Amino acid sequence: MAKGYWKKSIGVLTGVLLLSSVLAGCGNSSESATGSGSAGAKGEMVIYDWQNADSFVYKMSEQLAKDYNARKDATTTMKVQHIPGTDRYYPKLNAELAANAGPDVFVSHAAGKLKTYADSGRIMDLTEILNADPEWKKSFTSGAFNLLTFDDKVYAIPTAFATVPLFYNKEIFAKYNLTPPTTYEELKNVIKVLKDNGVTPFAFGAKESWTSALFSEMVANRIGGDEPFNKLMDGTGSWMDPSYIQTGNVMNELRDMGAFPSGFLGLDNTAITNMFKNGEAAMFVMGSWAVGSVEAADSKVKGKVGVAKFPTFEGGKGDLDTWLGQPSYNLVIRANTENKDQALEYIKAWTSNDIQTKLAEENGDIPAVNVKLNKDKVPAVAQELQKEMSDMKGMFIFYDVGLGAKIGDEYNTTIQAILAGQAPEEAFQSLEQFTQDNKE
Amino acid sequence: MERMLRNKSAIILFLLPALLLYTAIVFIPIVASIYFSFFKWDVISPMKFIGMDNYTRMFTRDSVFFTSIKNMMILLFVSLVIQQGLGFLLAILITGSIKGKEWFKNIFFFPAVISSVAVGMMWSFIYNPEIGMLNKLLDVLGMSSLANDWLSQPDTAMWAVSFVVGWQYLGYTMILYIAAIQNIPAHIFESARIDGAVGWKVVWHMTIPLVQPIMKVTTILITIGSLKFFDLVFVMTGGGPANQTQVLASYLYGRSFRQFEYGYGDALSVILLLMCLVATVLINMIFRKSSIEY
Repeated sequence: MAKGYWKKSIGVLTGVLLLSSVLAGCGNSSESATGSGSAGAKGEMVIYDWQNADSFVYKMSEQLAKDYNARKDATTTMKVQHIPGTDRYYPKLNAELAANAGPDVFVSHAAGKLKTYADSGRIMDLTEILNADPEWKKSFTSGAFNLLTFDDKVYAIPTAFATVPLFYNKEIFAKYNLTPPTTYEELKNVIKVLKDNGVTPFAFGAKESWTSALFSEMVANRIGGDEPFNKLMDGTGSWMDPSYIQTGNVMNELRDMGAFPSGFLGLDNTAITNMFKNGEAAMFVMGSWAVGSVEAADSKVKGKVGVAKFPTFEGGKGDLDTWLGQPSYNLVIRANTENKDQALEYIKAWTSNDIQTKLAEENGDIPAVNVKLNKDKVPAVAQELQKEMSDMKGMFIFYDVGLGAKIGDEYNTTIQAILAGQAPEEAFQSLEQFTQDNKE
Repeated sequence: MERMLRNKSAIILFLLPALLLYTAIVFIPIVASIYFSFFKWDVISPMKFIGMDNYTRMFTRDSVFFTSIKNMMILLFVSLVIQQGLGFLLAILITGSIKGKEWFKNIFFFPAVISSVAVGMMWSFIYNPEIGMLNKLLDVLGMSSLANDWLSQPDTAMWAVSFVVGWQYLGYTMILYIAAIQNIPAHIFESARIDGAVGWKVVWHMTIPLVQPIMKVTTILITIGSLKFFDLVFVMTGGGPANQTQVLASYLYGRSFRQFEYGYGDALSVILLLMCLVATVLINMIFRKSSIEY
């Protein structure tokens, strides 16, 4: 009897022990954060960003920190921690902020993502600081702070912008006598010609849900105009708006006519960027951050990439000159930092004429401050993009940035689900339900 | 020594370190998870008490939750079939009279010692629709119509992942069975043979009943392992396409750490805990008669 009892207990115990790994990972998250990486001690100033080691911005931030640390009057040691990939970046950042620790300066997306930090009082209100330095404030391009301001308070300093154009391979387009489409009908025609000649029309993937969502946001805006999304942003809109269902149908139509590569559900951002970079697809709808990649030395399409506006839809309410875009790289200061002055110094270095010019000329970025650029140095694609954007009439923001991680990411998954075969009505119905559940 | 171990305070002294550790890293987090599951909380904003809302949402409005449960059942089924069936069969063959036992044993056990990330990457390449071995193999065999985009098609993805899980842990189950079979005293088989039992009869009437305790342990291990499974799903599909390969552990990870719904993630983990406990109790009931006397 006793023997049987022990065996049974050991069985249960084994189960609980095995399970613990899962639960421990969850419950512990707040405790584990306390000790690590907190700033302030011994005059260290910590900066977090999400850059990869091979990115231009990575090298730049390392250089800035190095320059500062080498200075004689440096009162702290600047240290940049890079946490590549937002999937890892935000959880780490949030855990540390929750413990009232964390970096003195960090990078954040705009709008909804930033608002969470502002609302909970985790980041510094920068309005006074900006007003105290009118020269600095004036240097930014007009509207630069729009998506970084809540209740008339500025919470972040933009360092670069990103927009989503339609990149196309000029060589392929010339070969088949095509011109960049301006309407959906023309686009379908272009797709048909490319298909008939065995060329993949779009470098497109849905393994990472945001890449397919980004494409669909362009479609949704061209069909329904700005209103449906603006209403969702202020909490009065609905995903059951006919323009969203139609967006789902358009995505399906494009998939069914072969506009996307085979197996696109398994292609991530790197895969599709490489696909376009290697000249294996004719078009690419992606953020302007891809300019650095397609113009890199190892790119087979270097110098052959054209930029166009996303086509309009017949009867659609969206304008050809409305762009999807945002301040893409914004610096914020943690509310209770002990290194406010040094933090400001670091941020001001980023928005200096010198660094902004470098970002634009060497990385093809859209600068956040007004700078005079040397036309010969800026990549041709970036110049073409700026030309296309000069007629801009309006701008809307990435859904997952605007609506925040919860609803925004759920939208991304919804588009993925539709592309994987779920009926658009059904998919948007559950997104609507989710949105209702998560309203504040 | 014996007398010292009868002393109650000595027992407590020896148990204390393990107990404290266990409390700190298992018990407290479990209790904390249960507590947090009644809140809406993204870690940085203030916590908001919402009662049972996380649970009602899960059971009434969350289709991904049910997809995860379904996927866990697929995983459990495939793991049981591959690991129990094939694992036992291999154990019988290896403990039988074949050459190169050690060699086979090591070969089959090998996947269990490779890191799951490496296993996941390797199989992602094998399943790759363009450069993958599997589609190439089907092509060579003249069955290219069966070629598929294994990991990104919703109807094959979960089965493809489950197969790899079974493959990885097959050797583990096999080793346990080998140990159990080798533990059976040789004279029992001898007398069985004298009584006229040969071949599969021995397996059916002698080996299976005698390894029953191990069968119970492996069933519990496989069941709990499948229910709380995370790593290969995370590496191979990340729960995609469109949540179609999500299991509860990967789903709660995504909700907690990608979408910052820590309260909801905790509620999911509480359900996972309950499922594992219920499964363990059920299996114990099924294998009730478990002590074997030789």
